[in-house]
Amino acid sequence: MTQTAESNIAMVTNSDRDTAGQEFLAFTLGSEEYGIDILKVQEIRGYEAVTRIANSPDFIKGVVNLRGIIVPIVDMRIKFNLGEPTYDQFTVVIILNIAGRVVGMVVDSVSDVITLLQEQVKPAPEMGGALNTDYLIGLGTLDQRMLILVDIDKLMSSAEMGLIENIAA
Amino acid sequence: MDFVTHGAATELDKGLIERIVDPLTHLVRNSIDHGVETPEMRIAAGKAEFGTLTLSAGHHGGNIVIEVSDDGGGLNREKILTKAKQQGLAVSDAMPDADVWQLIFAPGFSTAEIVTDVSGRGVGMDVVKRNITAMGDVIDIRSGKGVGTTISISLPLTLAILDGMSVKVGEEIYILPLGYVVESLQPKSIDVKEISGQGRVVKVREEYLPLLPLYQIFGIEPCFSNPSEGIVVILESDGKKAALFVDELVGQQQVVVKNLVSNYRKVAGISGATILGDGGVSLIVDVAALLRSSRQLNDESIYS
Repeated sequence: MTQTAESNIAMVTNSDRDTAGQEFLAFTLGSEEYGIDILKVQEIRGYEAVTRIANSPDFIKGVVNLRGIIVPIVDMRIKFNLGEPTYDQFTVVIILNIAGRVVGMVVDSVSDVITLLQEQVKPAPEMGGALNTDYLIGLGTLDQRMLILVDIDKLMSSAEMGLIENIAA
Repeated sequence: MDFVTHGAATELDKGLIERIVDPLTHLVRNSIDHGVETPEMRIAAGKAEFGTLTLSAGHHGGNIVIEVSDDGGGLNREKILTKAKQQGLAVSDAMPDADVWQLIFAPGFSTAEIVTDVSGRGVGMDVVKRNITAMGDVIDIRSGKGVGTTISISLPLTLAILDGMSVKVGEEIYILPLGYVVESLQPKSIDVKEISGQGRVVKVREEYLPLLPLYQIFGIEPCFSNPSEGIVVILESDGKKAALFVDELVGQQQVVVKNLVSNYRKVAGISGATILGDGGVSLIVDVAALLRSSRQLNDESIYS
């Protein structure tokens, strides 16, 4: 009897996981709403003064001291030409942890964490947007909102971002 | 047996020292026990009766390099290969020397004919290599038959402590490793000369040194663009001197070197970063690289 009860519980948790979907952190860039896998996010901070790195692309704002480690800060608004890159007390930096590397990403605002079921994620249509479709997981729909779901792993490690040194280079 | 040390002033983080001391002791013991030949053999080979063991440390292009070097018989390629074959390791006679030398790091590998009370069990080098690579360091062997063996360990400048001089250009503060700094002065405008198409030189003690304006190299908006208003810092590396032009000197301090590469990438002209007293980040200038490319300063591609 006990045995059956246990396996029942196991079944419930299993099916929960199947239907629970994935959690995404929603943020905005300009007028667009984006979502990234919450598990890649280490923390969210305000924007603080950065140390500029000479001769780096303009979307790499520089480096900051994050509790003793040196973290590069990338401004997505500059990178994707979205919105006005202003820096005030409302500017938000999402600290990401991607494959053991820590990177900060400046966005306009962070709204909430949403859970999307598999069926709420539609494949992204092929179009000439700011983001290459290769870096998209798809489009998430929740009520009236539409989120552009970004494969942040792939985007941050891409040669385009130039954050990680190419082994060949 | 003579023992010579170089670069005794090179400083390392305490934790790093604790981890490096055992492998290093082993390497020194190895050199004495296997590397240097007996006095009779040395005299027969036309060398001084006493062997020399050199232990050196120094900064080298963003790394700290520690070398254990002896003037003994060198590694025996044939012996290592024969032994490797006996042990069933994948080897071929055509292997390059560097690959053959790496074989001595294999577990249980020893070519010593006799096991002495200090070494010959073939355990040591395996452990040395494992300890060193666990720290993210690179170990490299150079050996010449009859000339000796040099084992160099290259530690990334992550945990190192550096005596630095902080300089200011515009609003930015950079750290210059003090070891490269010879002197700093404010040149008279008459001592700064233009060389057409090749930048400027500054005359210091009857010597003309190339002027490297830091603001130009790093694209900073400077306070002064005339060297006679700012300060030039005379730097020397590998016997080459240059005058680095900055706005002002801020001070001298010990800094803990942090790696930029762990979360970002290598940046030309920068060897690392450090955290200042106010929590801000300051970049450490790769002086050796700047001096190396000082002649091609006009070639912007180096820095971009």
